[in-house]
Amino acid sequence: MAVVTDGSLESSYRRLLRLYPSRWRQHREEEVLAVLLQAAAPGQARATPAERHDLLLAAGREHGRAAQRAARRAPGRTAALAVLVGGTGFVLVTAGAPVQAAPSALPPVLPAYSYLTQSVSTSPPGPAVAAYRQGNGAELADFPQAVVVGAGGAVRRLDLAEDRDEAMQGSPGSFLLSPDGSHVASGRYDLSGQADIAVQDLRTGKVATTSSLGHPSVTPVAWSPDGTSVLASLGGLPWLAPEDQPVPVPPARLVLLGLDGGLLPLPAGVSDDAAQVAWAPGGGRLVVQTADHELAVVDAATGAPRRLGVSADLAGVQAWSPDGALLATSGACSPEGRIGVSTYDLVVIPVDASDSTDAAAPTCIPVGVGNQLVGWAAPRVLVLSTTTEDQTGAEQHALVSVDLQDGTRTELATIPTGSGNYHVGDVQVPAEALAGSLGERLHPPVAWDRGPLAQWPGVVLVAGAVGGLVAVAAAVARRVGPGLTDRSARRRDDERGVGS
Amino acid sequence: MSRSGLQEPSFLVLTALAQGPLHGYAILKDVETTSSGSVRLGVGTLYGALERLAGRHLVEIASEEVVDSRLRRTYRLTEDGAALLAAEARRRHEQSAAALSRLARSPRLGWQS
Repeated sequence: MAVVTDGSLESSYRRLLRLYPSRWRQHREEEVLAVLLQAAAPGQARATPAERHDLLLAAGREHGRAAQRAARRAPGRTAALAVLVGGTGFVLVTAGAPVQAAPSALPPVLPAYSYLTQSVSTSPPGPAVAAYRQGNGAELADFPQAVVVGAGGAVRRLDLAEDRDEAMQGSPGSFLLSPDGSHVASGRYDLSGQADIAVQDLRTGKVATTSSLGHPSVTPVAWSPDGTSVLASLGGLPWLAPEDQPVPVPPARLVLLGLDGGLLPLPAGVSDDAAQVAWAPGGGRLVVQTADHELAVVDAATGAPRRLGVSADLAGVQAWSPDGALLATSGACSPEGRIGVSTYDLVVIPVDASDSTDAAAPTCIPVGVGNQLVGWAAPRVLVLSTTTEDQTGAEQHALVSVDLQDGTRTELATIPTGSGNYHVGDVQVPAEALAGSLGERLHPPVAWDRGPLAQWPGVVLVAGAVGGLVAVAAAVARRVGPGLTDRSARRRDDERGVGS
Repeated sequence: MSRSGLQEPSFLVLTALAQGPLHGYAILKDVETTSSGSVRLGVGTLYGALERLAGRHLVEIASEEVVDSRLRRTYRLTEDGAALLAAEARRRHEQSAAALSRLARSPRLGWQS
């Protein structure tokens, strides 16, 4: 009987037959298709549910038979494939959402550099106990990362900042952790002068991005204490931008942005030409640093300024001591007691003491090149990000507390750097986690959760090992007892025959 | 099921081929007729059974031809296939006879004829 179809029924059957193993299709597809078309009801336009069910089951059985044949021909490879497929399935099924927790204390050791770390957008880590850059410095395979360490033990690459690296030669864009560690703001350089800023929720991975702010660069400067807005500095291109990109740079200015990306009025007493701003704990006061490095404390309610009479840069986003009595600046003390701008040392300045008392004397702390203030662990204990040596003498990065009263230094947390191969910088830790890091702490997680797919290399290694072992065992069995393998093959054939 | 036992689709396919070589569609129709319409094999099930039976050398390809621009293969029983079908038919017949005989001796369970 000639079968006339308009082609849609044949396409419908062919789609189902594609599910069969390729070898089966080479041998059978055209024949089976002809029978399907012959058996179809008059006017039938597509495969019926019963036919789909029947062909799906039959295709599954053919794959099973194909796998059995492959296992006989190449047992090692088949075993490796089975472990690979099973292991991948296991990894994906067991990979739940990362444990999220509020940041309360730093773990003694923070995660080292790894190529396997998944991104925040793929698997949000929850509120962060720390964020930092790492990976600059290796001669080969230099892929700098920005990483966020979730308080629940999940470490993730901050892909938001890594994707906003234009004109940064591969280095992640600027980023700033919110006071409670739940959000990150990331600025950007834009060669065409249309930079914007984005905020990512580390609990959900959701990103909100502003429209262009009309400058070549946007850098987050400070989060408001309640975490609902972020101050950003609009400026020019960095020193490492390509020189042949002439970009008109409007005058630098400061803006305040809400979490929805909208512009808000600047805090009272803060002019838009300020260079740095930091809110005091509690939010009642701010310190404002002008472009001329002059520092003034501003009343948040009235905007009334009080000049500190000191020329220095704020040492970081957590310049204020927890009790609001001290300010840390990147300054230097001259032998005459004058404070000057420096990138080498810290000067801690009393904010409220009158000039006539001893308490007004600044504390000068020589900390060396490249070290930075992270924040404060206690009202008189600040925390520096610096380089130390581990027990074997290998270089590592460390967060070290310095007691201003007795000079005691304590290592709060370290970050392995592969003996200096993976430079660490821009370390940010919420104030609460710094405060909880003095004294006894809980042990860290045994293994950092780097994301659901980070276990793949392990699965591949195990699959290779199992496949190799099975292949060797099969080869030995063939050599030692051919009669035995023949008998087992026959027995397997007989057992398969049971179902025929 | 014993080692020589056959699943229903395989038994019906072998039964269809007992009358002579048939192509796939003809086997489907014959199975339907033989079972008085109670068994309608899906095409996927039919070819799964044919693959298994060919793998055990119980059926083989009798001919290949192109009909209406499409490939058509006909299948036939091998000697092993015919022998197994005969053995299976006898086994099923003996089991059926035993069942009917016992039911006849137990009128309370029904069947009194």
